[in-house]
Amino acid sequence: MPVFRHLLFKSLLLAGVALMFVPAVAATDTVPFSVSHAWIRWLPGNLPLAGYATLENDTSEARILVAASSPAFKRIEFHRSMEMHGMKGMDHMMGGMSHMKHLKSVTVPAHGTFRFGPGAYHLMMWRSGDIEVGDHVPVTFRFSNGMTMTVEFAVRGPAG
Amino acid sequence: MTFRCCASLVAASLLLAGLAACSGSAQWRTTDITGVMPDLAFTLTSETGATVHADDFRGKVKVLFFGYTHCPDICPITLGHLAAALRTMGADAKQVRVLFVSVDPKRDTPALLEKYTDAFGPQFVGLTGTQEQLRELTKRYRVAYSYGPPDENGNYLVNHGSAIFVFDRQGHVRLLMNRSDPTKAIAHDLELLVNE
Repeated sequence: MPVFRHLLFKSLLLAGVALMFVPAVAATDTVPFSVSHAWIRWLPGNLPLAGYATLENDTSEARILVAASSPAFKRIEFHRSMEMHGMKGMDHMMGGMSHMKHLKSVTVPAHGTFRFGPGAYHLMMWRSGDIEVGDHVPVTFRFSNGMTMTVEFAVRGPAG
Repeated sequence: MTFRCCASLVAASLLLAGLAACSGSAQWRTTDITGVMPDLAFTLTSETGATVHADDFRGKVKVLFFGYTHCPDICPITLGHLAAALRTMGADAKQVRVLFVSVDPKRDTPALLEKYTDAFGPQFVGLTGTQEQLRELTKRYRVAYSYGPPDENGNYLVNHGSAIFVFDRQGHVRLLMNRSDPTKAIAHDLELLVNE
């Protein structure tokens, strides 16, 4: 089954790449927009998973990421983990407070980088079927200017 | 008595860094909070659904952390970090129990907690309880938790204290850790406690 799923995703990925209407990630020497270090942290059961990736924008315009989708997930949201210290009324507390925030979009600055990384911004991914460590799943990013790009995410174990 | 002496001198020893406050005191690499908080005590529900008490873990070094399973980022990062530390400890790791207390009993059933904690290793134990039991335990260690409003899918976020508390074999509070402490420092201090 994992092999089948892998192939399925592979073919979906290829279809996604073929459908891309921005030549941004074509195999040229200069890639004006790219995504790297894309991986998902596997957890058991049907729990939502966190996805991470680095988005690099070498164009002169900011790119606003407005949606992410994948055949392996029924919903993907943008979240940010935050650690709060010394908040008003929290003086009595030991250590910090972990907090998550749901974001509508994230911005990759012109000639800049945006990182979904552990302990900070992450994709909150609600799965639609079985996913196993070692799988590769395609995720399509959609930007406010209409650009889409599909990236393969590697599924790693719970400890990353 | 030596134990008390150490506790009262914590402030002084911080000021006089490098000067041992008590002879024979351990060289901790995480934060020594000996005597600052009460001994470990709780009544909660275990992964099997049975009632469990702090005394059931007597003889083990206990690592206490609060979270919830629908937390795909911070909680697994913290548990993964602790798992990495334990992996470097060899046989000593068997004397440690990581108590992951879910403050989200509505979604975190004992069965789900078992699956979740098993993914990190055999020393990881999932616990939860009634709101009353959880409030009692979190108040005891001055940890807060709260729930965000549900979204259109009925999902909600949980805010929770991120401190990691460590208790010795007898259940006395000893160390405060956090996930930015290096795994080497965590392993070093847990080994000292295991071998006390």
